[in-house]
Amino acid sequence: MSTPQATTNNPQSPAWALTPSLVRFSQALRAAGLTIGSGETQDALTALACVDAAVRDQFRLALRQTLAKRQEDQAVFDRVFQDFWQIGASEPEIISAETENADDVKEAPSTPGDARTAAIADSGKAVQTQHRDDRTSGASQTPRLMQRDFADVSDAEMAELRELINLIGKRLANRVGRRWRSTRQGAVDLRATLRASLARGGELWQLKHRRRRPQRLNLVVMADVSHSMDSYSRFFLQFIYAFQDIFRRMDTFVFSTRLSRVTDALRRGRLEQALDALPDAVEDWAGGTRIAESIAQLLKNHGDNLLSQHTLVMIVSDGWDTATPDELDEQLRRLRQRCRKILWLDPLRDHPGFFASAAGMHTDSRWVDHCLAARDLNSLRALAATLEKTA
Amino acid sequence: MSEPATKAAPGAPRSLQAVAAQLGGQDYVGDDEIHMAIYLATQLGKPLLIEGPAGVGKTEIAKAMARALDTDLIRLQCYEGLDAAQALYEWNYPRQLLEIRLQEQNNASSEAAQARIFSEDFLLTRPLLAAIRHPKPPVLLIDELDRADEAFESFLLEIFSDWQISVPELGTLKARHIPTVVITGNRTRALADATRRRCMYLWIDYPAPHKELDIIQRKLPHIDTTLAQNICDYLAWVRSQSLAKVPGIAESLDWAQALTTLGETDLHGNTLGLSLGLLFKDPEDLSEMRNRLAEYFEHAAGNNE
Repeated sequence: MSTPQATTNNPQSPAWALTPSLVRFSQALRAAGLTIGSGETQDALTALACVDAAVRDQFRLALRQTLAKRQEDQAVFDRVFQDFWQIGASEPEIISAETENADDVKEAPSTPGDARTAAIADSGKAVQTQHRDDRTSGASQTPRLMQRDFADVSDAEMAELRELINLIGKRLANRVGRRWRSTRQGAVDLRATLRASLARGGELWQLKHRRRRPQRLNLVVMADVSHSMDSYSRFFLQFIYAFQDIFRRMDTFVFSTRLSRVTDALRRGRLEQALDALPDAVEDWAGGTRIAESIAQLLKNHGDNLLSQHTLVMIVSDGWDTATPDELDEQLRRLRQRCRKILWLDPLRDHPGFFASAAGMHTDSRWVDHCLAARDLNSLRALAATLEKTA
Repeated sequence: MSEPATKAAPGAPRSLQAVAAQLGGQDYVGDDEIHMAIYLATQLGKPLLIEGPAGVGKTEIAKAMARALDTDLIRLQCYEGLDAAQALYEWNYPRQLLEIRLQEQNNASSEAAQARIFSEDFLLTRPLLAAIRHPKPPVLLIDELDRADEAFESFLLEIFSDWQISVPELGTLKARHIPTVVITGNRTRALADATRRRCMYLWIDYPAPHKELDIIQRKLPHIDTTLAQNICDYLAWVRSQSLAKVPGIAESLDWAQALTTLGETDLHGNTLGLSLGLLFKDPEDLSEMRNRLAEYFEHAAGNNE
């Protein structure tokens, strides 16, 4: 959409004088992670022309509502705004806003999560260094036995992996939809029938039929990123990422001690960027595991919005929970009542070096529809086959 | 683009103060941020995207806006599976069928019959078409856009960019006036970046106690001041707790109304525990908050000292 020419092209307008500063301000916001195109900057300029830009609050609100278009972004905006238009006092030096500040701002946002990001980048290779002290006993002593599993997948294998993921996704994703398509049998389609009758001068000669088209399910993924899952977590996030194209709607959560929604982070960028961005969004990457609590959180905070009979819930975890089996059972029961199916993928299941006695009880849970090994390509092939039988 | 020379709608408010005055006249309690958003949306001619938790008065803004601009509100409620036909127009098939039968009896030619049944008389306008055909620029409310499919969202963007709808049998229907568009969302799913980029953005949260007090007193002028104050304090506390369903403004108004009807003048009293069902619409929240009433009173007493 274009902006009103009258306001932005008028060099007399006070907003016009702000253009260079505003462009730099937009750059500072971009550096802080906001998506701002030239359209937004233009809007901001037009908005400034409409308000009394000398009043700080009006100035700030006009910019905020045109430049920061998510709730999360608004907090970032406030911070950058504070730094950029650095005026402890109230009013108008804004017109001669400082250029140097822009550089300061650029550096600010990159610091907080960096150390952790780097740590996680390494963790794929050197798995089990001692991560934290707050580990809880049961969830901690995973042996480093999964080196030749998904932890390292070659490019060629990756291609097959994608195919398998597609196949699995399609088997999981179908259901009867709301939209219709014409068929030879099924309910009479009055609309199409009438239209066809026009060809015969309004005589109802031939009945047209319609039927609901199969439609895709929604998918909610809960991926365990606690450190007993460390070497798998990255792989599974890739796995999950590939699912985004297949399901109609997909929401992704990661959990270890707490549940965090990462749907937006995954959607925002390309795969690698998304993975690198994750640890920032999640506080407890590689902490202990509390599956039951995480499920309870999902139900409580997102249940109404995300769960329905059209939702498939996929839990990716080794099931090493610190909660009692009863608690997990109870949460799984509640979850199962509110979704269509629960699918549990377990990278450690059937693993040759894995002690069965330590296995999570979920394996036998009556609330989980399918509990499947997901350790390497072979187990994924088996998964695809299982789904074919049961679908 | 063949759009009107000025983006501002004819009846648009001329200044920020005018918006505040108009909304105030509608008994809508806004704040600077809301006023600014409405003012800029009308000035820039851009859709206003409002997000926030359920029950904070997102929809109410659109209603107040329509009243303030003295125009009609046209509402499109979104839901999963909403498609273009339900948002734009549909032909009135049963009526067309009847008409065909009638025409047959009159021995009319089939061309005449066809021209007749595909005239505007047989067109059922749905919200988007209604907004485009409206004699006065209306406020078009797209409610809970995040419940509709992504496909519908892109379709909507297309409409917003050229404001015309083509009906094959009738030709292209162009907007007489560009409506003022308000889009609301609960963040059920993330809206497309393209949508955000075309909109102004406003995030509304639960009101601060003094604002809520203002709202309650405006909507229920006869309410006891102490009671209203206590209600707002209680709600502020409630909203800071972890609940499955946080009560919104509608709930607090209902509750205030109920307590007034019951003749309460303060939050103490036996009726209180029983009336909490008006605030908490989740069984677990309800029982928890009922059990924690005493805790709240202690907390409140602590604050007063």
